[in-house]
Amino acid sequence: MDRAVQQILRFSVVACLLFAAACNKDKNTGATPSNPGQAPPVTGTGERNVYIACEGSFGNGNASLYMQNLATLTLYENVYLNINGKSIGDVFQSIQRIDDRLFLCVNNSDKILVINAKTRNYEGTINIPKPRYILPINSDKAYVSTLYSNKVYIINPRTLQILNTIEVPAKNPEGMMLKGSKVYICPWDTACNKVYTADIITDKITDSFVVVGYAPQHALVDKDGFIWVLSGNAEKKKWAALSVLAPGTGDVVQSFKFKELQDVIKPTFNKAGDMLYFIGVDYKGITGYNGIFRMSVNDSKLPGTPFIPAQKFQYFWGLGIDPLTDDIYVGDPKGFMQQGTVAVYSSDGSRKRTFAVGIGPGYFYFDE
Amino acid sequence: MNRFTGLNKIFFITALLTAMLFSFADAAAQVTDTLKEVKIRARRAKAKIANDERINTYSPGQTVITIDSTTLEQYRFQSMANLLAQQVPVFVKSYGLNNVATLNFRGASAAQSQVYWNGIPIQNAALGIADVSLLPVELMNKVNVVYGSSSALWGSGNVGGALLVENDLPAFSDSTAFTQSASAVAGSFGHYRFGIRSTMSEKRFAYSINLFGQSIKNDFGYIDANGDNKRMDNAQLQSGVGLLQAAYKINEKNVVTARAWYQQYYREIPPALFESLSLKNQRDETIRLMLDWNRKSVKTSTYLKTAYIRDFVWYKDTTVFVDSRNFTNQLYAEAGIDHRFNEHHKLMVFTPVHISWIDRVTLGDRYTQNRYALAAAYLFTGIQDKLNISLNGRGEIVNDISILLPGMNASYDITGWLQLRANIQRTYRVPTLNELYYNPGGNPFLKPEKGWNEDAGYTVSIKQGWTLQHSLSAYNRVIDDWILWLGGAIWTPHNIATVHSRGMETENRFMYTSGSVTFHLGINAAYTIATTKVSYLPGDRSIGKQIPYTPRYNGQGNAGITWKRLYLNYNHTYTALRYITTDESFSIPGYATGNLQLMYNIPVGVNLLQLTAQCNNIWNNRYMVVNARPMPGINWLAGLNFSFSH
Repeated sequence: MDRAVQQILRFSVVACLLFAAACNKDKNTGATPSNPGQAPPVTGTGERNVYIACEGSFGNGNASLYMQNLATLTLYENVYLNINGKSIGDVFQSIQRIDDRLFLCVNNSDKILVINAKTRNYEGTINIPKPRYILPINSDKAYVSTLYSNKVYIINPRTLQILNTIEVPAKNPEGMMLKGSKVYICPWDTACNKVYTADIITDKITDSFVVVGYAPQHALVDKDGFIWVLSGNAEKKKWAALSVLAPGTGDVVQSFKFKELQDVIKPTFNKAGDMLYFIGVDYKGITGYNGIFRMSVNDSKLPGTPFIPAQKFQYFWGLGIDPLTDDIYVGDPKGFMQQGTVAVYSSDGSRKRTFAVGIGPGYFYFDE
Repeated sequence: MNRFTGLNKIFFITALLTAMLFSFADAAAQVTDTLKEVKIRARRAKAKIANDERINTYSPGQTVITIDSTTLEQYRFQSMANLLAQQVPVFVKSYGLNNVATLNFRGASAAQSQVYWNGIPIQNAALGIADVSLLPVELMNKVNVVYGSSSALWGSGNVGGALLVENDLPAFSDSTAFTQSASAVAGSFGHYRFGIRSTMSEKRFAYSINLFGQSIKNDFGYIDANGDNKRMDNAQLQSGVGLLQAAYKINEKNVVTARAWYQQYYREIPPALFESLSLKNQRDETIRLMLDWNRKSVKTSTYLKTAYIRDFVWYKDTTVFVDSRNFTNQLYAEAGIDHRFNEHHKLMVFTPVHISWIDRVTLGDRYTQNRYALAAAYLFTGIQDKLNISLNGRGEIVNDISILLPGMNASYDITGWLQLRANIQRTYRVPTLNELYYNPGGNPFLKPEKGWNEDAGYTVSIKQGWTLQHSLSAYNRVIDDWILWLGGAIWTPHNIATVHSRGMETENRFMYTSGSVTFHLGINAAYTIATTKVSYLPGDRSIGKQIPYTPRYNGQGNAGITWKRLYLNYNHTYTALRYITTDESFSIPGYATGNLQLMYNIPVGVNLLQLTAQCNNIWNNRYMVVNARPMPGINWLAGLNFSFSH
């Protein structure tokens, strides 16, 4: 073979060597973030923490639990995985403390994980289809709302057993609120324009109240005992609305209708119960109604501009108000395709801090 | 799952070192054996590797991998997904055995990787992707994998590469010839398959019928998220497939061919590791009808092809009350003329018209996408046929968008054994109907993805008693307005980024015959870097990071012998870790599989009994291609095929 051949083949060798060298860049992060951090210590007396439910990207099973100590601001990553050695599952929806346990609703894994509130050690699993939120009634009873069915499950938080179910006359029981001996249940059903009440003694549906708009999502009570109900499902053309129900009768005493296409989720009150916060979500950049909004209970109209605006191609997914400081916690999921961030604002809207969390920060639980 | 990672890397490095050794094998080899005919996998400029002149003639500078007939025979009872995953360095994103599988060429998304059947695009018109697990190898006679963009020749959407599958009919013959065959297959996890094939040819008429049905339980064992041993549930597959082809030779110049391909797949979708159960299932029913006329004279070929494709996808998930039924329809027509002016100049002009629409039964609506194009390809051949330059261009109108797609590629034979090649193309992809109108989440304001693709490489082909084929390609591609689905409860596609892809591929094959034994050794490998370069997303942490489900490197090796009527091959594949998030914060480990393949032909008079057997994943590695979807461990498949001619 002539010299040219040898030269070409030597070039091949060089090319292959470069090729081989290039193959050494990967680092195996496994199913854990590159910097997993340390497990949180056992919770001390008087310690306050905020838990962040990062729901993960749907269908990937990469939900995670983050925690920040509110005194030291130390952030603990992947708390459940680091302590219990297992992943949480898919679509981590919400967190609720009942006595000395934390209940983690993992929606698309059809389960509620139960961990010790101090050590975060795994204590059990309650298998419930598509759990959304847990409402504690007492130490022996809690209600669990579920997606796609018309059932509210009744569980015993001590024994972790399912006691019974409440059949709601509409699908998708979502938000629940306890007031006196009644639980207000919001069925996020586009054919439903009612909020139902169940008696916590008999566990039966006892009454219903018509609201403005369809698909009730959440019910909250303000400082004067009025019940605020957010309804709507923008993707199914059920436009968002707020209804204010009178404390005794349940009559709608005031209502607010959002504009068409404006998508509103996750309402919450401040510490005093006189300021309502919610997220306006604009997935496609169409409405511009995008960010954290707030309105006083005395306002006569809806806020038109966001209190904390989201930028283009950004929308918020989690919203929590620190019940002690009124600090505003905002979760940015960054499209659910990468680690999200949490930004913390004071009640005047000035940003205090931002930190990276898991994928899809969607729920904040202040544990104290 | 990680215990083989080190072994995998060793394999990969070994593969590359072996490739390098091939490169040293120039003058040293003094084998005196008589040269025997061998199958060459990689293309040369004038090889008729396909039935389509766009590949044979007008792509001299593109990297094309041709699957040889022996390999097609070996995989005849499997899906195209299995064949490509084991034999071609393209990443096949498979959700499980016989489950949905899509192609990822050079870091391109599934929608940027196209599949053509006899020149007709067959990806689902709504999704813009083709599920290659639903392409049976048995139906195909020619399989070519084209790397890199060639939008001018193949149209919008051809960004990363293309899979070209084609059917042949028996040649017309003066005497009537019949061949019939029947096959029976059994395998692990309750896999049974039966098929028949019949062909006939005479002076003016030929037909071919191919029918098969199969059933697979897919109840393989796996370890769930809690570390418990479980058996896969809700994973059955049942399918029926038929392909009818007929050709009529009107005269010496004119041939009319008709093809009808019907298939129905029912697939249960097993639970992911994070799911407690799954009641999901999907029925895919497809009919593809094609009619083409070809006229060939000494200098000019003229053709007209028309096709109608209807896909019905019925997805059900009773746990969440989803019952989605979508019909997608495609009408395709293309007229073309290919003329050779003289030995230096050739020109092809063709006019594809592609109309797609989706009928959503559950929503009661319809969306349509119309594409009209005028394309031309010119080939200059010179310097004693050593130089081939192809200039390509296409003007395409997609609904209210129009685009000009230029391209150029060339090859030059420096010597009889060394060829250089280069390719530059503008790439373009219009959003699919699903990206625009999916409910919920479709984004009607999406812009097309666009960019440029450049690649270059060389091929060394040496025959000296032994045969060596070595090729290396390097590429660079930048795509603006890359479409990415973002969302939690509602997923919405956005034009969010500029993605820069670059990398290399190498193919290597060595054959040596001694007496009645032929040894073969082959190594293919790909190195892919596809990173986000610019993003519109505020605070995006994906800049400079590898895009999801794009392994940085993957490769396959084959080693085996052919001895008389026996063919034996060991195949080893390696795929590096895949990130599943855009910021590289989560990944799933790389994996390797070893696969053993055997084929034995037994003549029975003038007839033939063929035995094929595969043992896949012989090292019983636990692995996942897609996060939380476990793949089966060791499994086997054996088939008998009896052919008789008269």
